[in-house]
Amino acid sequence: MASSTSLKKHWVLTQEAFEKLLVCLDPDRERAGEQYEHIRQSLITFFECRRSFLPEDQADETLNRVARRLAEGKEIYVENPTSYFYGVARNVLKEHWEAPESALLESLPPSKALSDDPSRLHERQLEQYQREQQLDCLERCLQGLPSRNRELISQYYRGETGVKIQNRKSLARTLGIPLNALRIRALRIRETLEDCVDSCLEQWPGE
Amino acid sequence: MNQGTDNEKRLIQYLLGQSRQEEQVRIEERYFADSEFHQELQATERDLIDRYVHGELTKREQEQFETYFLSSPRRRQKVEFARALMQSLAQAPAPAVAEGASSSQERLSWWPSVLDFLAVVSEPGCWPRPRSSSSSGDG
Repeated sequence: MASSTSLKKHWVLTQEAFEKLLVCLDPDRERAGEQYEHIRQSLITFFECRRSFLPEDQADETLNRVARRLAEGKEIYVENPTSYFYGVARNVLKEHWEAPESALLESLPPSKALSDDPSRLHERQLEQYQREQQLDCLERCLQGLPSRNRELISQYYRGETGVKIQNRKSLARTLGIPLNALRIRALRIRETLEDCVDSCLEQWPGE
Repeated sequence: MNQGTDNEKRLIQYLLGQSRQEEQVRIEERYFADSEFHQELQATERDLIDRYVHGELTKREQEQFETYFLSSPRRRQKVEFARALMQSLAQAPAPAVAEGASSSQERLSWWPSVLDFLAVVSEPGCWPRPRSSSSSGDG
């Protein structure tokens, strides 16, 4: 049993298994890709909301487990595939919290679990440096946006609470869309910026 | 924004780890099945982060935000991003909001058809027969 578990944990996603997973999500490849991305994002959200420290890794672990089962020829009997992924994700999380290495992290106050030693002058300097990097990257990413997106996000976030709400209503009227649709547009642009800043920071030369 | 709606309150409670377990599961099942709902949750999360950055959370929300929400490194990154975004936009010159209102609609008609996408389709060969949802995902 132990060796079987070990094999499963070290199973590597093959191109064939990935293709099979996509076909199972939707026969149309483009839609399957979109569905895959939605499931992956939902998994990341789930693990993040359940206080996992490695949401992206665990999302991928969940996807791999499902892909492995499909590659092994297993059938999955559910009305909606997404609920199956959710079920597997809950098990991945349960195993994570049952692992001995999680106990140490869990025993610490959440805000202290990963950092926050007040004497870390060097780390604070590093954080300051990273903030400056982040601002620099953000400027670049903002400049890289199509001007209409840059205008939209700039208008969307402008102003203090009351003024901001009025600005958003006015912007939605101008665009001829409901307020919630505007909110989702702004979210999409913000997510694009977040990804762009992440990529930019990864390329930044070390300290 | 939209702080008053019941749905938004539910989502904020979920994000702050204050939902009861059955409510938590209901919300999770829904955003796995419904990409629009997942987007709504994401938008609510960004609004919550912005309110925190602007010091607009209630005392209780702020406590919960700092002890629960910020336990995730990825979320701390999002908060840092929000701070940087607000700072950057505050320093930028104000855009011409009302100018060319009629043309704005056309300028912004770029939005990809991805918003129209909502398909959650089953492939008979892979997901052939319904079974009780509780049996899903057996590890």
